[in-house]
Amino acid sequence: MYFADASFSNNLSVYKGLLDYYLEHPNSDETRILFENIIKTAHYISTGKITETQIDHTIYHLITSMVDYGKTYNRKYFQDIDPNNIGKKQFQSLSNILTSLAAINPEFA
Amino acid sequence: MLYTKLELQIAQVERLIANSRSKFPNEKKEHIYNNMLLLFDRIKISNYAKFKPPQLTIVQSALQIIFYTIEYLDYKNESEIPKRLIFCLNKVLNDWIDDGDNNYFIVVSYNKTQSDFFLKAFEQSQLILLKQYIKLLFNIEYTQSLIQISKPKYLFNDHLSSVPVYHELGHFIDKNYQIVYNFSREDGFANHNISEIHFSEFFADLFAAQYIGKSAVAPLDETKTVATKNHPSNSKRVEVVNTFIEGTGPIDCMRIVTELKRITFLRTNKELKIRYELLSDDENPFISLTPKVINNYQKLHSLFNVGWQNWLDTESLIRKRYPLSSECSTIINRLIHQSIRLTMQQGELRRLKRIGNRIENIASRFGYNAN
Repeated sequence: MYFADASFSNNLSVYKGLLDYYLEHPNSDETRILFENIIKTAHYISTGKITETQIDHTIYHLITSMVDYGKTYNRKYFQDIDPNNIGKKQFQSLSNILTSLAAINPEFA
Repeated sequence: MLYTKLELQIAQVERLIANSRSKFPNEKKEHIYNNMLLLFDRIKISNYAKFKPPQLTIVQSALQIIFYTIEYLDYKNESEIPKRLIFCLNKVLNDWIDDGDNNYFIVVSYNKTQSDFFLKAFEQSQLILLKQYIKLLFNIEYTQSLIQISKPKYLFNDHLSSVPVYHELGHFIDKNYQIVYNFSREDGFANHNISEIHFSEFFADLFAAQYIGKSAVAPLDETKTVATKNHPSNSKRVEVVNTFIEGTGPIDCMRIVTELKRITFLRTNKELKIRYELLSDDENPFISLTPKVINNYQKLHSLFNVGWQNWLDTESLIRKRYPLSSECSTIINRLIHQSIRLTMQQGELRRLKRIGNRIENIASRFGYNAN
């Protein structure tokens, strides 16, 4: 199956596509919760409140790719986020981060 | 992607639907099929011509899912489906994924090799994305996703040769929870001097051994001591499984088993442990050489192990009774097959009785007494 065979880059593009679509049509609570969880988890791992092993398996690859070792800029960004105050601005920033990941992953574009 | 290219795909799906089975005796299959038809209808009436490229890619994926789902649900007759094996695998799936057999549906397809087994399925991370995307774009719930297992066509009812499917399911669980991948990112992983790929193979072997014991590696030629890039040596795989089952073994094998148990629990909150239960003499079909009802589903997996033990032991009753290999392997497979079938029937009977009792209880509350 196409999707089942998808490499991580394809999966990443699905996240970005879904987020951008949500930003244009913000009428799904499920999608909002998904991306809130992603941002909160990225915050908790960047601040050392959880370890990599504790990241939920359904968002593991995305989180580790965003705040992996060496990605200090992203880590700093997520550290400074208030996990209790996530809204459109943070979603937009997440979309930008996903776009920047595309720059190091040619299949993504 | 241009939407006009999608329209060719739509036409192909339409043709497939017209030429495939549309009625199913199995309720779940009927439900999955109808879900696919509904999704297809929604795609056709959607505004896809105006979608942006990322959304068009999802439409393309959705059409491929519809295509493959309908194709894999298509079969000529019921006897083509290895229901006994699927029944056992569903039990395994439910041990590892919450509500596994309600989110996934196992189908088996056949290839023309003698020993190729593989499994394709969406991991849960992909499923969540896909479900949300489909809901947003087409306002429909994508309910059950297929786990497609491919096995050799001419061995479709050969239970002795089916043991690798447990191993393949292990690979799926590993990827789903990123067990070995997460382990490979730990500090000190390199000290093991074992590649991530080899650890994945050891994990899949141990995963299978939880249910079918040493038969998980029984088909391997253990005299092969050379490792390849993709697989540890057969001898090492057998040694690691023996260590897992017996709880003791060479230091390097103990370390592999201990680490895999540790990381599995960390990632899944579930234990990598022996999960099969031994058959009592009354339940063992190889003692009387007649099919038996097994009282506990957890014991069903043991049939594969006992089957292999009897095949490998040239002094076993069944090998002596049927000295011809072809005849003996046929009888072993038949005993496994029929024992699982009897157990499934017994389970279904119990289920129907429970429903009957519930109906009687409700009826008696309204003052109706069947007697």
